Amino acid sequence: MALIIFIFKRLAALVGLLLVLSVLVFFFSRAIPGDVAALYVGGNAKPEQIEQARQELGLDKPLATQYMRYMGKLFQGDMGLSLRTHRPVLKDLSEKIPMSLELVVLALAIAILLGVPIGGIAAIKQDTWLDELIKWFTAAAVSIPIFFLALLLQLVFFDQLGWFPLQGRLDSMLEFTHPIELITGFSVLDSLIARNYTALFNVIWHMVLPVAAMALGPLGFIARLTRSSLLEVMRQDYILAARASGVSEGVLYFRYGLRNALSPILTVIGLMVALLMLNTFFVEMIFNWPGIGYYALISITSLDFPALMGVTFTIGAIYVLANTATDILRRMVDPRIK
Amino acid sequence: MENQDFKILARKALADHRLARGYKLRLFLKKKLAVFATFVLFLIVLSAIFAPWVAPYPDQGKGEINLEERLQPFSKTHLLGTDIYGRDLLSRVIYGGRVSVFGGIFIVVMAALIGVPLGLWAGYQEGVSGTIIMRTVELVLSFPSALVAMGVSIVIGAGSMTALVALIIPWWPWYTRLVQGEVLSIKHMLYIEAAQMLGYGRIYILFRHLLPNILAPVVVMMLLDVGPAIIAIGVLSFLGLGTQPPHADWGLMVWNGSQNLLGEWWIAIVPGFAMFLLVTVFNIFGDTLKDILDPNQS
Repeated sequence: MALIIFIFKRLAALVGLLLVLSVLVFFFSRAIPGDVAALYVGGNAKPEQIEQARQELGLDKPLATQYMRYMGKLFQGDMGLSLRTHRPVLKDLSEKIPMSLELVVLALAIAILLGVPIGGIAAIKQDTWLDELIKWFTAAAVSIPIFFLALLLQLVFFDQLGWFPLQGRLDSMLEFTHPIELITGFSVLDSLIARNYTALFNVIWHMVLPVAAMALGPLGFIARLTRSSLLEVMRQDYILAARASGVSEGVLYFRYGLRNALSPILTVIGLMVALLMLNTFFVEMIFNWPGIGYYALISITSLDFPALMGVTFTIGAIYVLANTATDILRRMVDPRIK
Repeated sequence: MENQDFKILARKALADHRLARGYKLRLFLKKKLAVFATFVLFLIVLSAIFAPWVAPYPDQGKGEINLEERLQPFSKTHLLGTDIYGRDLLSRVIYGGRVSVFGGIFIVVMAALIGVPLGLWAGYQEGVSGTIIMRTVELVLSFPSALVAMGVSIVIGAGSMTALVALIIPWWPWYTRLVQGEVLSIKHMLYIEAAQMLGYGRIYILFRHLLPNILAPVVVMMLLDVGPAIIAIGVLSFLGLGTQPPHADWGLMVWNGSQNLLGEWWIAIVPGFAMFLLVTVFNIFGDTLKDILDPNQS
């Protein structure tokens, strides 16, 4: 029962946060330097045309009215037309988001699946050469700037070794011979559904470097967290009691230790998603990956304000959602949290 | 007589304290990696402070163009090569280090200067003002800080100073939240209540009695935040939202160099590596101090 009340409270807070987010995004878009109406009609428009565009966009109305209008449209799923692509922003976003989520989810999965065992090994082998080695590796992993890492990977694995492609999602030849049909928007899923295995392997081949660049930082972070959390748990009295009663070390670490050590790791997953969403900006720019980060950057440089509003709102919403989900998940997994 | 006993006790306590401090220093010196990291950190900070004297070509470090020597690899005259405008990369990296080193420290110090007093107040003075502070903190922390910083930079216009301001805005609430929690856990202790009964003012109690007792976790957090702050500055300037040319900045240099990655790789890799190195040594330094300062650990 308490859990249900908790979930309802979190969901109510979520609605509030999304509203605040919409207000922030709205005022942000109005505070961007530059005349939006002039941008809307394009380069050499006459003053009357700009004036007309201003009226069309409702920019001559008071800000509160403009906000209500924007919200009304947002509820109908209308984020306006992109000034650059001249397509509905929502349509652009619905194509770009899966592309980025694909990288984010894969990177997160790798970070957790490798980070937890690496951190666990470091804790079990505390103060040995292995622990020291892992300490070095994870310290470097959390310290490396993502854009530097991405460029380094390109230099080593494309330029020097030639193992992986430089950038893009698919070889340009395959774009014609084996194009990926747009079904879910997730390249891997779409090529699987269409049994387009040539494209599938090519896409995965193209994803290796960007996903590696995105996964390394969170991997190091999760490994460090697992190590300290597991060491903390192993100091507890119930571990001592279990050990005294003859429970084997393996069971001790995995069933008693790791399970209790996982709660802090769950807590940071929301944070990791946020970090990864931000990292798509750099990784997509450097690897020319057609996702939301790349789209956001072009929107910034071209002052494409409807697109920018859509992107900011979407990324903010993903962040808020991820945090709420994390809170609820934590509460379900760990009943000690009040 | 009693007075005498007290003095002896006090002297002994002081001696123990000094011993403990010496012990902590020795503990630090025993960690070879930390000592090495501190040494490298020291070198980078010194070269940033004394850039005009350390850099082989100070004018190029500031932005002077030297087209005759563009895109040169490592050589005796240009130890780390030259960039697309023929500027000596070593000089550029040394000058660019100023933004990273001082900017990173500045962000963390400012965030603490804003966040700590607010946290002290919110923790000590529950009530309306405290609630407003904590709600604001939660609100700011509910949104992705990088996005907030990018938004602020776009609105107030790119530049090194605006990038720092844009990063302080989402950064201070972490300190408020930390301090508020710490204050809540010690405010009902006897010595605080004694101070209240003696009639000391609120502000006096906050800074004289509460602050010193919560300082250790704040210092630890500040030490661990400098590395991320340096990366954040680099991130903004890589996107063109930070330092503007011709000034040198590592993030901006990596971005410019990335355009020539497959031919003249050093233009991007040298400043990127400098950033990696600085953040790593700062993190190792902070981590080690954290282990030593934090009584909850080890």
